Amino acid sequence: MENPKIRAEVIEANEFPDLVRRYAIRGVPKTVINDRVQFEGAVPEKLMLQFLGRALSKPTELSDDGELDEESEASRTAL
Amino acid sequence: MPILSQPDKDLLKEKFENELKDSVDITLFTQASSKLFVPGRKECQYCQPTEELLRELSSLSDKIQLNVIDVLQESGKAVEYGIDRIPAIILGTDGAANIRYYGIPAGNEFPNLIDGIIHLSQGTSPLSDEARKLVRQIDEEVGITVFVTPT
Repeated sequence: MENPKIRAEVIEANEFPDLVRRYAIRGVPKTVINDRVQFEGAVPEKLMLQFLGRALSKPTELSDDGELDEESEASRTAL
Repeated sequence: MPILSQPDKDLLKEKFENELKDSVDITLFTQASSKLFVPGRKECQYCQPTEELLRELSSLSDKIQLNVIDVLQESGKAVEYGIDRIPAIILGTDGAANIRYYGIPAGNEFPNLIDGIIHLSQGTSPLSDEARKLVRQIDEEVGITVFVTPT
C-alpha cells in the first residue's frame, strides 16, 4: 500500500502444490521476497524490514542494518 | 447455496458501513464451470465458491466494486495483469492494485481479506511511521509472497 512498486501476494498453499514444491514449503506462513529472501512464521515489523532490506538489490536505508541479530538469523533460511 | 451465514453478513455489513472510506475494487480472475466434460481442460475446484463468496461480500457495501473476469473468455486481460493461476483476487483502489490473493480466501484468510479491504479503503497501512518512511524509499520492484493455509 505504501509503495506502488511493492506487490504483495497471498497464496493458498493447498491449491497450488507445484508452488509448494518449488519453494519447498514445509510450514506456513512462509514468506518469500523477490525469490531472494525467505522466512517462516509471523515476524515483528522490525524484522520484516530487515528481510526486506536484504532482498533489495539497490541499497537503501533498510539495507544498512549490517549483520542480522541472532534471532533474525534463526528465522532466515537459505533459499 | 450461500457461503456466508446471515449473522456473518449482518456483522460484515455493519463493519463495512462503519469502517470503509473510499471504494475498493475487487477483480476476480476465474473460469466459469462447464457442464461439459472437456478432456484436457483443468477444472478450477475453488473458482466457483470464490466467486460466490466475493459476490456475497460485494453485496454488503456499495463501496466494494466487484469485477469478475473469466480467463477463458478474456485471456488478454489475464496476461495484462500477469495472472497465471486462478482463482486470483486483486484488491485495489483508484486504479492502483498491488495486493493479490491466489486461491479461495477461506478460514483464517478471510479476516485477512476483510482487513486488506478496509485498510485499502482507508488508505492507511498498519505500519509504524518509521517503517512507512523506509518502505517509501524503495525504488525497485519488490514481490512479497506469503504462503498460507486456511486452517
